[in-house]
Amino acid sequence: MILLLSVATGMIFIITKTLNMLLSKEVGIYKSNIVNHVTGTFGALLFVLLFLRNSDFQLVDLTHIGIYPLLGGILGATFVALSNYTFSKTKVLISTVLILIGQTIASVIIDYYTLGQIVSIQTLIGTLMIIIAVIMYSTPSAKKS
Amino acid sequence: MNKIALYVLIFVMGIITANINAANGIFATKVGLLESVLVIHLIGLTMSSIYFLFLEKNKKRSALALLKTKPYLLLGGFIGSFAVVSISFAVQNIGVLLVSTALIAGQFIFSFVIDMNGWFGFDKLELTKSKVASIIIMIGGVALLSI
Repeated sequence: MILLLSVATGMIFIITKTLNMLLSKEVGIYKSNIVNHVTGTFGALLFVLLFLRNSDFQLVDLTHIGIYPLLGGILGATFVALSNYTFSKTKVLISTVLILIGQTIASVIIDYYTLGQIVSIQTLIGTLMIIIAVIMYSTPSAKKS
Repeated sequence: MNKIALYVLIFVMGIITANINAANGIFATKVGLLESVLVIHLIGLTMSSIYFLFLEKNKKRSALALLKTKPYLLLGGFIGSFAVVSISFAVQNIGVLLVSTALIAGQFIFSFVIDMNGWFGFDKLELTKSKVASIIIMIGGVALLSI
């Protein structure tokens, strides 16, 4: 069920990426990044208001949780800045493959150290099949661009 | 920047992507899902403002003008906030690798639907043998992850 939720989230990503791409053409990539986070903050606030009654929402003390958990927001904004620099300098297919490989290797290591999970054979084969499918699908469009 | 350095940088961006999902999931575990999503966006807003101040050359283009002409373009971040909630929740439960791979699968499937129908102004693409094969492999991959 959670796996299907993540697949559906991937679909939502395509809508947000498309809207962000169109927005960056209008106002520039860095301003569109700001607009995304402003409207995203409103979305997060809406989420808080909707579920406030069913949870024990409290003020967060950020001084005792370490640095790593806080990196998500920093890295997210940094990724946008880096993609603006790198994607115009290389082919779509190469970027896609390198990012997928980096993401998969890092995910295996993170799961091992944070959850103590060792990747099963079927998860590894499934992941490789999905990467191969993406490469096969991207190849013609990379030639077109 | 030479080609090798550029490829290393893009590879590192893949590592960054995995760490974004992991960090958000761990943050949600430590302070709560609702609290973490709000803070993640505020930190991201601060960082993107810094990048804007130092890297944007043309600061005069207004996003507010789009409210009248193309307001839907401002919805990307709003919709994306629900994705952050979903990913943080999923990483807590099934780990970074499964979530990252499922996200790739979802993006692939929806990209395929968009390509076949020519939505969002993209060119309508032909269904080639290579594309059909890639979809079969994709479905097989997702099925293996679900076991």
